[in-house]
Amino acid sequence: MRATLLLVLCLAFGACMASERRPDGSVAGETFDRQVLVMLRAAPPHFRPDAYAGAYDAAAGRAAQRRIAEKLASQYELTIVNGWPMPALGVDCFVMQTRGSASLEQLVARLAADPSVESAQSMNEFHVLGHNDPLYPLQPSAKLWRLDDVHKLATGNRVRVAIVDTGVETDHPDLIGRVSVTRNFVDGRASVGEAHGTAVAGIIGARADDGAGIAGVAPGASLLALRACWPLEGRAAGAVCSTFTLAKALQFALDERVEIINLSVGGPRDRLLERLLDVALSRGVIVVAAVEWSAGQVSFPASHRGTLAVAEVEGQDASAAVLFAPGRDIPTPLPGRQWGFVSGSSYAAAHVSGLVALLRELAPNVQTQQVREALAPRAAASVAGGGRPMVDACAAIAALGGACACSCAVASDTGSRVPP
Amino acid sequence: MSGSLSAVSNYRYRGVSLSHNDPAAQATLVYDHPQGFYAGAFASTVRIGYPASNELQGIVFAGYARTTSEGATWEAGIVYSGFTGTTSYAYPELLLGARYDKVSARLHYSPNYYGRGSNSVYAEIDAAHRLFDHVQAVAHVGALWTDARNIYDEPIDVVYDGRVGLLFDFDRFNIQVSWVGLSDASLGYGLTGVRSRNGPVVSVSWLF
Repeated sequence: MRATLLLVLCLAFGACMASERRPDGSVAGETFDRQVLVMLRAAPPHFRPDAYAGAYDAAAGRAAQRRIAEKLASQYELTIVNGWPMPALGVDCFVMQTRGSASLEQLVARLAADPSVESAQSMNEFHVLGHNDPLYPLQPSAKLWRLDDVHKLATGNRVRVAIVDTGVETDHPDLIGRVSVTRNFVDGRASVGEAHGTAVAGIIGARADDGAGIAGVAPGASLLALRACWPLEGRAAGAVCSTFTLAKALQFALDERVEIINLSVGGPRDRLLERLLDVALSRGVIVVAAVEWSAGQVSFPASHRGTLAVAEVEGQDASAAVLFAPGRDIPTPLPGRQWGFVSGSSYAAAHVSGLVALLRELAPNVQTQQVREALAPRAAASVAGGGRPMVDACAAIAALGGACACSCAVASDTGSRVPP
Repeated sequence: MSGSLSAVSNYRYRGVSLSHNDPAAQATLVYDHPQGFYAGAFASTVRIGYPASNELQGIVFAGYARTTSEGATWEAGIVYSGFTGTTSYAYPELLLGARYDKVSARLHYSPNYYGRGSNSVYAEIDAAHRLFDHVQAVAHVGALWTDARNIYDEPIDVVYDGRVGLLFDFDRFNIQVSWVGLSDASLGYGLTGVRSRNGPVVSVSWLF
């Protein structure tokens, strides 16, 4: 009997190892303009007598979802590319590639109407929101936000910030020891250092007082580098992400109970991502998203209700719903153990994510709306001067932290301003 | 509908070996309704009683589980366990459970645990933490309170069981390697044996 069991174990293990050698179905580098996302209801985890053996709770039902997905793929002429559990939404999400020539909209509509499908949508593409411009050697936040003074009160100590972006160079001298968790939701590579993610991570939480590089806005925060975007050669946007990779990263951020999610990406409105963001917001996570202006409209996810939408200060029309933060000619770490200057709303959002980490350290239970009110420029500031009012770190800390980080004169003053 | 076929090196139910420390084969079938109702059946080969006899254990269960918007899950259910040979070991059980994140807790009450005609409450906490892709650390602690008496006709009081292990999860297969411990082997059902109260358990499951 024992010999039989051993044989079964060996055969099963061998089969598993063989399955591991198959391609993982990663979407990195593939075109996904003909891909759809199909969400299948996942049963809540519940009692199963076989949990003591190997079928552990929710994982046990996943094979059933896969079976349903295969049936749907066959029925609608699709090929399953990938699948991922999204327990925050109670669904398993499958990426499927169309084989036929049917209209994608019609296919999504037919899938959504199928009783075995919870919801369906097309795969959307997002891109990071940075661009390179001529630079000058200043770190604007050091002066505008008086980081020296602010860091005497708070450094974002132990506040967990998820950076959903391209890969982060975690062994960069300004980031060593600053990234507590690294995950790659694009492909199977363990560690990937890329420009946009490294720059965003540096602005949020680069090491301070180490005699090198810059000081992050929140040098005490715990950073989670979640790679959901990847550089694309020949694309003006520099790096792209998909609904699927972003959704996987958001689900992971929820699992890790982060307090802040930085999304320096923009793209079309996306139902799956909206639902995950709603779950995050309902759990008290503060979501900071970079703004891309498109015909006067704010891009998604910055446009999503409840997120803190952040734009760089120059060249944009002021909007009551949009916060403005430093985002032009920002010195920050770059891959290859270098530093450089970057510009764009991505980096303005990173500044605000760092600032929110400081606020969360001082007021751990602070909610998004309170943060928004503390960061929003005062009405008087918007009227006087004619400039675009920026987020004022000193005033926000005074309002939420109950502390006078800078001089009290500044804390009681109106927001910092830059020329129009 | 989902299920599993498993081979285990030792069928430990709440820490007690129901297979006389020998391997066992198991099958599970579960139906999940979209509204949260579930029902299922489980069967396992067992070796129980004095002298040990080869039998089958069957467990049928049904319940309702719901996930809240905050991500917590709660459930209530009923379980009935019976044996093909030692029919007197049959017993019903009610269960209440809750789960949040990677930790679940359940409370089971039986008015006739293993046919002893005595009340019993079993409380358990399970946790899983993903270490790497395809690898989870799993842990379980349980405590059984019963007013039954053991094989020496002594009060049983509380019996603890625990398990720590690694679960290797793949698309269709799970492999679990764990270490199971039991505080008292004199419960009177099952033949764990004092010298084999604690030991390794390896299981392979095919999920469908």
